[in-house]
Amino acid sequence: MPHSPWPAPEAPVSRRGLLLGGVGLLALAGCSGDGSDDSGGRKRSPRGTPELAPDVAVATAALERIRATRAAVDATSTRHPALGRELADVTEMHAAHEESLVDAVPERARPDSPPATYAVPPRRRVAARELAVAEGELHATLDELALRAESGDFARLLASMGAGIAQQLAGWPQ
Amino acid sequence: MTPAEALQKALRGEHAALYLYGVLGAQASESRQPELVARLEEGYDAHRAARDELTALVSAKGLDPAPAEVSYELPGPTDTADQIEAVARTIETRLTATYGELVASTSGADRRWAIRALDASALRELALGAPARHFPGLE
Repeated sequence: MPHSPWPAPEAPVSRRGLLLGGVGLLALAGCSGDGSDDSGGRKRSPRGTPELAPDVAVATAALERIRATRAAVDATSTRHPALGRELADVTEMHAAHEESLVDAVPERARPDSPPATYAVPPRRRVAARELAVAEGELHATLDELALRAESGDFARLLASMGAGIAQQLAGWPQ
Repeated sequence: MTPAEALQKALRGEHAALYLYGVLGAQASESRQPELVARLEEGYDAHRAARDELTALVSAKGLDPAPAEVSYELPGPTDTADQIEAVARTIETRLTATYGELVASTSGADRRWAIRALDASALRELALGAPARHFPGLE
């Protein structure tokens, strides 16, 4: 009798659940401020502010890079509207990725300045190519951050984002 | 899931993929569907390489690699070219999820390997006509 491949997958993964379970709660570390570990084992800095747990730092770095790349896509879309229409799904993807990370990053750790201004090449073909380079760099960054993540589920989320970008790059407009 | 369990699960998935791609390749017509046959052959080669690499990763941990089954159930009909492609897509989508689990269950070099495998599987999904997803391997 033929074997049925792939035993039932584990329960569907909720992105929000991943963050609340793997990163988000860490982001909510308390702040009583005596420099010792609190009851949850979270380290505190000598000055009383809680140090960011390692995965919060990873999430913060990911959020910053995603926002910068998203700003580059927005700037390119504004300068080259026809290209922007072709990049609509990319814009949507970045928004979904950003949304999945926002809850993981405590407000005080979020980048408080807007991403650096992205210089859009005046020629559409060059603009598309430059943006593909930026997306490739974001993909590589997310993969590296996935390697650094201590939470396995959070690593999966980041690697999944990278794979989403790889799919977009496979059909990148010229 | 332990890293060893996740590696063995991925290996079992690759055994299945290799078998099923072989079945699909035998059912597709090279003269009438050359592009589909080419994609199936590429997939077959990729899955054979992944199976061998996973076998090595499992063996390196001092474990016996999970063996292949004698045969595997096709996850759909294969009477037409579209159906053959759809079955290949299903195989890749399931493997993409399996590699997502492998990323979550491993660390270090094993996780790096899993991330590359996740990317490759997500791209094969796309080449087989699946729509791009925001979170391949997670959704």
